[in-house]
Amino acid sequence: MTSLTADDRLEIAEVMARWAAFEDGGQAEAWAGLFTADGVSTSASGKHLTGHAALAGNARTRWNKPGGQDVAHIFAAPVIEPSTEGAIARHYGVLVDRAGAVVLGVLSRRTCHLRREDGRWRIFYREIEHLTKAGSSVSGEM
Amino acid sequence: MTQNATLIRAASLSAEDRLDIQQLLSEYSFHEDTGAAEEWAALFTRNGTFQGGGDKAPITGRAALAEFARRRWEEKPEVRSRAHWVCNIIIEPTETGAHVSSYQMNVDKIEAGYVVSGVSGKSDEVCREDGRWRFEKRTVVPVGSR
Repeated sequence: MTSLTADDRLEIAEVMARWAAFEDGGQAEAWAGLFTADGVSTSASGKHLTGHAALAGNARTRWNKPGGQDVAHIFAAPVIEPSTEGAIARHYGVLVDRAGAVVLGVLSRRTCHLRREDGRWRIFYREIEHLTKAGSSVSGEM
Repeated sequence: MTQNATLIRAASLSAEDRLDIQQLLSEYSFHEDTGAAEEWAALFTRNGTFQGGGDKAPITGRAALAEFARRRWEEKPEVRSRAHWVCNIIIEPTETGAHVSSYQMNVDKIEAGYVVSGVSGKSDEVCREDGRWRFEKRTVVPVGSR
């Protein structure tokens, strides 16, 4: 088990914040760069993506879907714990659809497994579990 | 010490700095949502600027900022039942302090319950003045913008 400094915890929390900002800003490459080179993403529907090229491609597809640019990810403060390989961050997220009247969309529980690669904390595995699903106007969450 | 070393030191932030800056953003919401105009204005540097969204004119200096906050509270009753939820905070060191980006989700209490009335981004230049971190410039931006 590794130990985490205050700087580690702050940096890991910012990985989650960058996730939201990059995804909501259509920055597919920057978003994929939050993962390790062999990083894996598992969506709530069970879809697996591995590696920067696949992750960035999916992010671009999501951004270009109808309604894909109207979404904002609101992330709660994460619980960050040391793990054998680095750290695990768990947090709640809610999608807000900003098209027209602002409405809350999918509420989810998110888990990211992280390790240091190339001098910074990156996600090597992450998964999402939807807790509720309200409405259908929020599209294509990964 | 070399010039490069000086720049590197100027462009680094301690964990305490980062926590202080996070608290600055939290204080902003509390003061804004309670109508504490003077306290809200004091979160800016003496010559600090607030730039609202769209083509709104910038507001500079604590007296003008406090007046803006008072008028907002008096003239817009809906803001008295609003809470600003701040999240997704990213802090990056600069040579004079830090650049901060964040989200704000507005939750309003209405007769029927609660509604999300808006989501915006904030882009901030912050620096230390008179012993604490303050906003040098705070700009309302679309979410996902730097």
